[in-house]
Amino acid sequence: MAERHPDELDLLDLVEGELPRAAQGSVAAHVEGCPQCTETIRQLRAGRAALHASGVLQLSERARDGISAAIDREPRERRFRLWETRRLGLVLAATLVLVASVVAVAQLGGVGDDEVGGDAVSELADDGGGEESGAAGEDDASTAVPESAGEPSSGAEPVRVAGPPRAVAADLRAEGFDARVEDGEVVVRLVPQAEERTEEGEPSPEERLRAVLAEREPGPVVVRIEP
Amino acid sequence: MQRHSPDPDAPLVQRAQRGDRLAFERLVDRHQHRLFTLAARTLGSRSEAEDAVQEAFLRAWRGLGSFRGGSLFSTWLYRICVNAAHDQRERRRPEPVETVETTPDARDRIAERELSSELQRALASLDEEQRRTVVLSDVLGCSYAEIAEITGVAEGTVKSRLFRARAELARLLGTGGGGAPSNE
Repeated sequence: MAERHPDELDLLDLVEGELPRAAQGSVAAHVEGCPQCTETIRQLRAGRAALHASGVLQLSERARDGISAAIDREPRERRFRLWETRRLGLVLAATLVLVASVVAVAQLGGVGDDEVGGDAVSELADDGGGEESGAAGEDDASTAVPESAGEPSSGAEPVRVAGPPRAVAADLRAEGFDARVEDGEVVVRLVPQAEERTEEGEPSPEERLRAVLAEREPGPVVVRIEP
Repeated sequence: MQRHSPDPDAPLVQRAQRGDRLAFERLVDRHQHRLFTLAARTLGSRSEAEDAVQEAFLRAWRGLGSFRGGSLFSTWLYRICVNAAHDQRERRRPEPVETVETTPDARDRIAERELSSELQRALASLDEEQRRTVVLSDVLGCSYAEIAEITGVAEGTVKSRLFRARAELARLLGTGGGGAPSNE
């Protein structure tokens, strides 16, 4: 063939949907008329499909318990070293400012200066406290928001969650769902896997999917559920 | 790596960084299977993969204070797991080690079956970097940029490895032609 073949990594980008729009037309047109590049594209898709179909392996409960047990054996003091060091630093800084303020008040003997010293101390205390209360606020959001905003609505209306689409799809595959990314959206097909047939009394795949999605943060990624 | 989406793990990570053990357990629950898949597909052994995953979560727990949110938590965790699996491989002894017999549960049996499949044999014929790259991309859904960050190489290298790995897998599994064609 007289025409030069596209770079092989452009063919990979084409398969992945990562090729810049400007280059898509010319590469796709070449592939259409080139048996060699068509074969390369087919191989890339076949290689991807082989692993994609294999899905995520499940860690046994025994091994999962082993992780918790290993963390339990970790020396407790190591876990909080960083946080406690930070907190100790704040206490020391506040104490130093307090001492400096008392000395200044003693030297000047003025009531007004007393207020200035008090402001400085309280300002510093606010800095430290603010960090804690701000973080606590995020915690509240983490427990309250997903249950409401992340809850999928009924019917075929899509669910919106946070995270890159590929990561969301991978998360759902890790939970045993047939999830894939199509046009920037996550599509989930509700077919129980062979090893995980729904038993009587257990939640249906759709109920389980909704529960999984409800745990995620709400966001811009559209998740479509296909029966 | 620059991120455009909020990290869905961020609230739990922040709680875990303040010593909230339950929050960390939820992170373990959330990521355990993907880390296991990454380790198992890379190492080809269920028991070694379990050890690598346990080590990865331990390292994560110890190092939580150093995680600043510059990348997704999952990206950070995958990187730790890749290193733990690599260390596990380095420690691998030339002869099989006697292990304590445990009663395999259903998940163990499925994992064992998967790890003795034709697909795993094909994966085992790739080099470690290609294997890691293709699992991160095609099983775990990581982007080029994420894989580059996890494996510590340029995106171009990631793409090159992914191209070679997929073409080789297709050839070995009989779904491809005669291997990756030349480009001229």
